[in-house]
Amino acid sequence: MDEQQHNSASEQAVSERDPDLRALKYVMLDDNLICPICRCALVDPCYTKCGHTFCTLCLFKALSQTPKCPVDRSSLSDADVLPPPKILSNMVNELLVHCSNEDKGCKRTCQRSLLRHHLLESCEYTPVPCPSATCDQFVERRYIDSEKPARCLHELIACRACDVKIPEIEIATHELVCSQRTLKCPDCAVVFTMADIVSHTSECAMARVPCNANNIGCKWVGIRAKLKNHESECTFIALAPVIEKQEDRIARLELENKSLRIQPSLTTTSGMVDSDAFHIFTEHERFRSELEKVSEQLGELEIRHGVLIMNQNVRLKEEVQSMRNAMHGIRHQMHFLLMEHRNWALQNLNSSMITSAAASLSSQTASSSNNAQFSGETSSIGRGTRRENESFRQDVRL
Amino acid sequence: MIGGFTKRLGRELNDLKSNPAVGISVFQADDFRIWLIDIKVMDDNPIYVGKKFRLQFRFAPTYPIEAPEVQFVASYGIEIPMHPHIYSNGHICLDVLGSGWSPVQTVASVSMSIQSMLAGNDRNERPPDDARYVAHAPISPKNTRFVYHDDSV
Ligand SMILES: [Zn+2]
Ligand SMILES: [Zn+2]
Ligand SMILES: [Zn+2]
Ligand SMILES: [Zn+2]
Ligand SMILES: [Zn+2]
Ligand SMILES: [Zn+2]
Ligand SMILES: [Zn+2]
Repeated sequence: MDEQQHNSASEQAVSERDPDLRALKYVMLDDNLICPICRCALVDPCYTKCGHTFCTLCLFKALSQTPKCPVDRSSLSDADVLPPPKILSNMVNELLVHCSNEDKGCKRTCQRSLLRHHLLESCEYTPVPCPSATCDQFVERRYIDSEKPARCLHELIACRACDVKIPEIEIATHELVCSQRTLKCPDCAVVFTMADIVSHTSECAMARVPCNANNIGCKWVGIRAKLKNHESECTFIALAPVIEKQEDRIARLELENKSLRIQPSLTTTSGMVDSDAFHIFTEHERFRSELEKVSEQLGELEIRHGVLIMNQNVRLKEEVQSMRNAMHGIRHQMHFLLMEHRNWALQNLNSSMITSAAASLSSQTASSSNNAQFSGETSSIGRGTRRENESFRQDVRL
Repeated sequence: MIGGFTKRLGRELNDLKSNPAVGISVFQADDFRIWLIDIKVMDDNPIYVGKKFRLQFRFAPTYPIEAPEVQFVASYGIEIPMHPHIYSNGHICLDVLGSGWSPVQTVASVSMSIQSMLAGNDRNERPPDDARYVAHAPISPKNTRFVYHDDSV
């Protein structure tokens, strides 16, 4: 039963020695290595796809509440949480920390990842089980002397001054503050207890004290018994109220001065807002100049477009004109051809009437000469037509 | 892991005291359950000029994963500020205190949000449903499902 108790107690002590990394005092801590959730140096860091760093535990607790990045509110699932870059985990592991027993007196600083080892193996202020096999209490490691035979350090010893029984390891600390301990006043050599010595030193007649006006320049120092005598004739004491008033005024003016100096900085309440506003302003300026450029280009384009259309218009007009001319020519030709055709048809009719008449007259030679004249005329007509046609073709090509 | 929230609050309190924002001061922070923070509106908004208001923060061990409970409290010489998003019982309709909460927010950042919400206001009035809300409001503003008003005010 006893042994079991001893075991569980020592187990508890070991788990207490596992340092709480968030409670440590860091020698120096970069803001970039602070978790934005717990506001401590990162412990077991992780990295999100949106580029933010948290303690893994802190982030998962936050994600279980809201599946969003706590910093930028972008949606984030467990799968978007990545292990940190090696350099980051090295940086947090190598942070220098003060030993967590600093308040007990350990002066060590070490890398954070080595602290556990220091506490378990070497810190002089870590509680370890009392060397005695029959004792289940703990003593700080520094009390254990491995040279000497194991013995319990909790045996009660009576204080020499007050006779109260105190465990051996605490007796030294107790004696320093024991109210019954006696002490001789260094000035008047009277013996007092610890309880009384404090009030005595503030009124001991033989203690050497400075003049009350030493802060404004009196160099007098003497035993307290003679202080009253000195102050009655000290010029500094007489001046004290005046000087005090002056100093009061100076302090008030300084304060006012300081508050006046602070006021201009009030207008820029927060640097972040300022830089944000500046950013927006420059963006705005950029957009405006871009807009100006674009509208300028648009105007230029419009002019170019107009000129182009006008040129095309002129060309089209010319083309239409030449087409019209060509059509005119064709109409002429048609007219001419029609006239020619009618003439020819009339002549044909005439000649057929003549031939029928000649047939009846039976004049062979006249008819043959007539025929020859006729064929000559038709060939001249065909040549004329071809010439007209060619001139028309040239017109169109123009 | 229990007690992690007190460590963070301890750090926040240190920051608030050693590096206070203009117009924001700790009135009372004796434990890690309730803090009272005094705020002043720094520009000369005529609605709030020369006045001081008191915010009450109530923390649970789930802080900062969950939002603290924040409201204005009245006291001797301290009133609930007039604002179209602040009810006369001190409850505040601000999304940062509800659905917009993120664990990277702090007492200081929330106080500053509320401070700027006051600074930007020019309407000396209560929300339109003030009387109805105050008559039926839950004790904790966190139990109210606010429909956040538009942010133009
Ligand atoms: Zn963290
Ligand atoms: Zn992010
Ligand atoms: Zn140590
Ligand atoms: Zn012992
Ligand atoms: Zn004693
Ligand atoms: Zn003395
Ligand atoms: Zn003097």
